[in-house]
Amino acid sequence: MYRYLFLFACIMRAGILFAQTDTTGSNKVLQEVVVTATRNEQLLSKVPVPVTVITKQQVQSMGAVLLQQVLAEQTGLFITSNHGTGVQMQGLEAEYTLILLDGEPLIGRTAGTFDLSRIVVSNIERIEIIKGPVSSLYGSDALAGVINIITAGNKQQGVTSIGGRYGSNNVYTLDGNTRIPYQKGSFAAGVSMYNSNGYTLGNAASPTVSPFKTYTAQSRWEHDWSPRWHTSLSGRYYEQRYNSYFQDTKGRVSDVGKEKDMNASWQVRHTPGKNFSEVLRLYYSRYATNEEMRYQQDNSIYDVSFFKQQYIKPEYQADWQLHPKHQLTGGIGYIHESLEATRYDNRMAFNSGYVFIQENWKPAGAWNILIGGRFDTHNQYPSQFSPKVSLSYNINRDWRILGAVGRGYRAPDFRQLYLHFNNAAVGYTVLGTRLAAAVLKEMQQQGQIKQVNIDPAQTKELDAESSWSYNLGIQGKAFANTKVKVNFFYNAVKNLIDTRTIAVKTNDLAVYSYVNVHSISTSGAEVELLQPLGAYWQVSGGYQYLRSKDNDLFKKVKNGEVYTKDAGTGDTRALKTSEYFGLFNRSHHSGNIKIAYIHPRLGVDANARVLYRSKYGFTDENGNNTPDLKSEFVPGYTTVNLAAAKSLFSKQLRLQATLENIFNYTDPQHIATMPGRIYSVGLTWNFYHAVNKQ
Amino acid sequence: MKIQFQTAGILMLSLVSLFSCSKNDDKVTPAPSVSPESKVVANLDADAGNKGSFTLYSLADNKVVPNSDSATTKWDIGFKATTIIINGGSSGPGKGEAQVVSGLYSTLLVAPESGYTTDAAAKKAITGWYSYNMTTHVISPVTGAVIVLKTANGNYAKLEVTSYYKDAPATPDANSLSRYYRFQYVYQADGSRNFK
Repeated sequence: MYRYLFLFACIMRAGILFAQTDTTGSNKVLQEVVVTATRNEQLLSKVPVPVTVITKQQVQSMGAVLLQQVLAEQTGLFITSNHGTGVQMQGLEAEYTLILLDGEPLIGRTAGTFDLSRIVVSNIERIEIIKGPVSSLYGSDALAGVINIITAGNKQQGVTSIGGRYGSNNVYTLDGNTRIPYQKGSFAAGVSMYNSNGYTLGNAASPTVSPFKTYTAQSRWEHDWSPRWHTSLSGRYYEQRYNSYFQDTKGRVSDVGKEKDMNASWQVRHTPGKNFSEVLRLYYSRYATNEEMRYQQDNSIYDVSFFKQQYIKPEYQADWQLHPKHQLTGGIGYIHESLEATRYDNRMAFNSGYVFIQENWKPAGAWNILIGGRFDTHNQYPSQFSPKVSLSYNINRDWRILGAVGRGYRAPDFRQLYLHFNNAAVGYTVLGTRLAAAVLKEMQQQGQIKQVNIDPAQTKELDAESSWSYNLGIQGKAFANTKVKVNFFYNAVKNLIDTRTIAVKTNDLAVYSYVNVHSISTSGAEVELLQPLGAYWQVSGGYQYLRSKDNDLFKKVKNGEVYTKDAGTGDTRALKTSEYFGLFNRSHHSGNIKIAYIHPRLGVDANARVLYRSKYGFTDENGNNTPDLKSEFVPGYTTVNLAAAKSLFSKQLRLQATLENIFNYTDPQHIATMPGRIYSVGLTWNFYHAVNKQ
Repeated sequence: MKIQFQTAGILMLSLVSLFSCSKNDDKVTPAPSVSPESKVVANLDADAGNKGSFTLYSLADNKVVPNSDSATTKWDIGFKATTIIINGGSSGPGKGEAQVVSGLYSTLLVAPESGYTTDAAAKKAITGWYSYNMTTHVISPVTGAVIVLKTANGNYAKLEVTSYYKDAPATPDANSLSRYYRFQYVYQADGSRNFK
């Protein structure tokens, strides 16, 4: 509540502030600065880690509203749909990518997926994407990579904007954002509302995407108290409501849910000298859901559930320029996480502490080396040490080589440790590993257990899933103006957590728990090109080649122990190693071509984006755990998206029309996230104020 | 693409008819020393009408046994939808036991010595032979799942289900008629574990 009052007060003061123009120098940043790769500001062209930056302008020219729309068009990223909309990176599923908001982790994952549709991108400054593990700085979940959504802008331009957009499926959004810079700081706030009527693909019995409505409010205040002391305070609140239904044997069941998410962050930065700076960050986040399923005929309960997660993290970080060639970054932090939910016995709490250290060494002009590591100690699973070495070498002025080796990990989640679920209707039981021994004993005493397959008291403690990952690439300029980026990657992930039957109940149904079993690997290459054509045109393209395998299964294929039905003879035969396609949901080939026309003087920007992904395994129909039959694959497809915008009245008014998926490609059986052709029109009014005169 | 599938289907059909022809000619000498041959049973109605009864089959005689003989050892194996029973344990008076092994039907030349179980009311000996697709609701035999069983009179047989749909379409869909088994089997009458 306080925050709203504060926000209101600040908006009221905007008029007064408007009068004060900023006098401190706006040192125009000629080169892009990134923060995610090193946890401090570095020039994108120098940092020894490949970072993809998506700017606000790019997001706007696409006409994107939700984060997944932006990510879907990036080379090597795929949008997945499993308990929410997630992103696959370097062939690793959504649970292995850490999502940060201004450097702080967003919580509230369902079965590992952070639902990207929770993030409205109307007020972001930029998105930084790092592929490859960054657990060396961020700890758990940063195994495939990190996506950092940055809302803080250091622009000196004050602007207030209101906008709206309307499109197919009755999707409409309303936004209001303001940024008020003043002499010693800035204040920014925004609200946005998103409504979708959802859609039903094919003749499904329940909506493919149910109608939902979301509200987001966020604000940020930055202030320089003195040249040495700087603080920032930011907060975000998100709420979603959805309304769905499905058919049960006893009639139609309505499914109404609410999801709430808030986070607050407070930072104090102290810069006593040119060579030293330290920052204290306090971060709090809360995520809660409520779901009610009731029979429509008599309003009786089908299922009611709730989930409440809290996350508190104090952290201290210091950046110390020891020597012109050595910059040391170190930090220490503590995380307290708690959870209350249906299907969990008590309120569960996790505590973990961590330290990280990173040395940025520039031994000679051409070299830039980053050596770092993070140690996480945890009260529920074994401690993790995640080292990483990245380096870059400038061959000449135009080209540089980048390489990295690092370890990433993903901690076991609450469910895998603490779930206590008895499926009353069917009769099976699922137990988190921390409870399994005690609950099983209890069940044995009650005579519910017929046979124990794996004694949970004997098995090793559940460990984190972890990887070693290798990246090698080259970046540079070919010909006159062609920018080229190439990267080869290899990820070896072990200790993947899967369910196993630990015991059989007297009703002949299973008691499941979790164990570390599988290991997988993904490898491939990524190429990106960017070519300006004349003053106004730009063409860019990207391609990813990806191979993936389940190591145990691949060994079986090699030994001739995995079988397939020969398409020609109809007989069963051993699957050849060349026929092993890899993990499900991985396309071998994917690519994009984007053509943009930007004419600043005319205020016109328009673009066309072509996105392709080749076939990928969807399901296993014949029990051999690998996609091999034609019907087990999703056929490859191409979509084309268009957007065009025109600015008027000295860029105060911006009108945009978008047409996504113009050829109306759908595949209701396999791709729930693709509703077909989507039109939208949008309008934004920008009111510029407090222009910095320097 | 679709055309290719149809031809594949026609091929399959003609194969079925080919095999069913050969089957009728084979009732000559059951000489124990001669290696047993693989037989194909097609479109075996496994309670397609949903009457709740098993279709009982004699592997020894290669024919359907009437349900009135269910309490005898005349039958070896029975089918009702996806449930397969054997003549033993809770299902019948015979010596039936079975297991599902992973391997190739054609190269499984000796039956495993151990690992067999018999039917219990709650758990049948033959499980895990098929896979169910939750989106298309199609039942597909697990590739490489070979059923090895002891028949009602204790002889060994191996069996592979190749389709659960009428006329064994290459890619069954929601319109395919289910509960029609197509399977191939080898029955060893001499009591040995050899299928060679």
